[in-house]
Amino acid sequence: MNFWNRMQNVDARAIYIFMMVAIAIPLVKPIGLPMRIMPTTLQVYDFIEKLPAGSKVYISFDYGPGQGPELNPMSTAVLNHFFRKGFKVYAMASITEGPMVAQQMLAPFEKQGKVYGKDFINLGFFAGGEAGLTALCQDIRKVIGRDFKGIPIDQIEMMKDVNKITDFALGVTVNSGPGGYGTPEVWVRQVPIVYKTPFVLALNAVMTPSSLPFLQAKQITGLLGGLRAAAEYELCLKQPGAGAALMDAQSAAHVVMIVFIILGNIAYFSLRSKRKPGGI
Amino acid sequence: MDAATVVSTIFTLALFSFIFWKDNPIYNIAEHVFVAVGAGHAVVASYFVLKGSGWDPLVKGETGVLIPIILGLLLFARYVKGIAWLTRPSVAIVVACGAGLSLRGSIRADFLDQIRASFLPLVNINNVIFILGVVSVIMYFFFTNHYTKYTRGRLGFLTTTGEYFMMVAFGASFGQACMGRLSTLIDKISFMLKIVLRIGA
Repeated sequence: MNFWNRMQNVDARAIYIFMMVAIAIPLVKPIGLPMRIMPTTLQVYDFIEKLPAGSKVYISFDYGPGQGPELNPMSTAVLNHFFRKGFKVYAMASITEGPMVAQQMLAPFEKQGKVYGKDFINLGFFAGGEAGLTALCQDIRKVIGRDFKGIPIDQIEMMKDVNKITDFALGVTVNSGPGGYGTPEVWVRQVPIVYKTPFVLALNAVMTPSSLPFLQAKQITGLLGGLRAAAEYELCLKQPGAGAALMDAQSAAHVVMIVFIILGNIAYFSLRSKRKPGGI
Repeated sequence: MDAATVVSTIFTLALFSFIFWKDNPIYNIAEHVFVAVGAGHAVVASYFVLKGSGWDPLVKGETGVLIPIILGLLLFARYVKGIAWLTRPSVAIVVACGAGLSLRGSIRADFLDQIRASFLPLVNINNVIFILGVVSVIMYFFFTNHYTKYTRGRLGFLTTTGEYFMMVAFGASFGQACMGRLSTLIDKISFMLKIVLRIGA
């Protein structure tokens, strides 16, 4: 069996090992590859930057721990911006695991001195999918009676003048798409379309291409897609974090993948030309 | 190393075992535990939702919540032969509300605004490519005989262009999907290196 034959029948385990090594090297010794900030990310950053201090913003954690590696850096970057600007942050979730993710994401900010009930609140899970979201937009108290800790929301200082979705200056859903009840499409058609309120989609990479039309049609304020957007947002904040740290490894993995695709194709065409006299 | 890190390490290695030994008992245990924990958590979360939005208001005297509670309980009638039809009113209300609510926003979100946004002036190369993509892909989806004699005939080159545009779109989606899965792998490798083995931390 010659080299090209071997490339056509390469053991999948060899690809996994190559991939793991390629990822591990930049994690141990970061390369620091340059990165350009995309206009879509800058658009979100600029909008948030222009909001006045003390603005009320909500962020819905519509993903579970399984999507955390991709979406946690994005949540952290956006929350970092919110707290840096002195916003009042209202966390919620349309999927059952969401409130736990919210707690995990908010915990570091609590350690830094942000106060629960004064600077931020975790409103927990709201049931009902699209119907629940519609009801929440009209009257939050109809859907959420107590926060994640079980405290009645009427007893929380931050909830005093907050009754409906139009009371917020901005909304964000950090969303992993199908699997939850509040998919990006559901949020778009029930919040910015109906109430004309500023709204940002922060999505995992696979959801990004299908949600770009919402941005192109100016239905949403901005869109952040995948780990790359998280890394770009960290650069906007001039505070590189988990997203930027993982981008070198991401690039290395892409190189390995591209090399295998090219080798596989060369092998395929070279073997095909040998089988067919006269070439391709 | 704390207990959470130990548990996380064991499960990470158990899941990675699939790469080298395919379906094996260690992988299966990890998979089943993951599903069970997710299901258990969903049950607990649902209990608190039912308590908060159903039971608590009822105890306070809000009898209006009895209607959705009864409709919800009727859904279980499908498990009893003879009264399974009682499920229908509840299902009808769920479907009707769902359709009505989604239609409210989707006419604008998925149709009107998207159509409006597609009418771009042909002043730059991006807009030209965009319009060519929209027109050629729409042409691909003409299936009636009356039109296919043109779209598969003299205008076939446009239909083929539409196919290429779709291939590019699917390729972009697939590429993004790979990127997402790689992020998860990178996170786990980073965890094993930096937290467990303390290399490059």
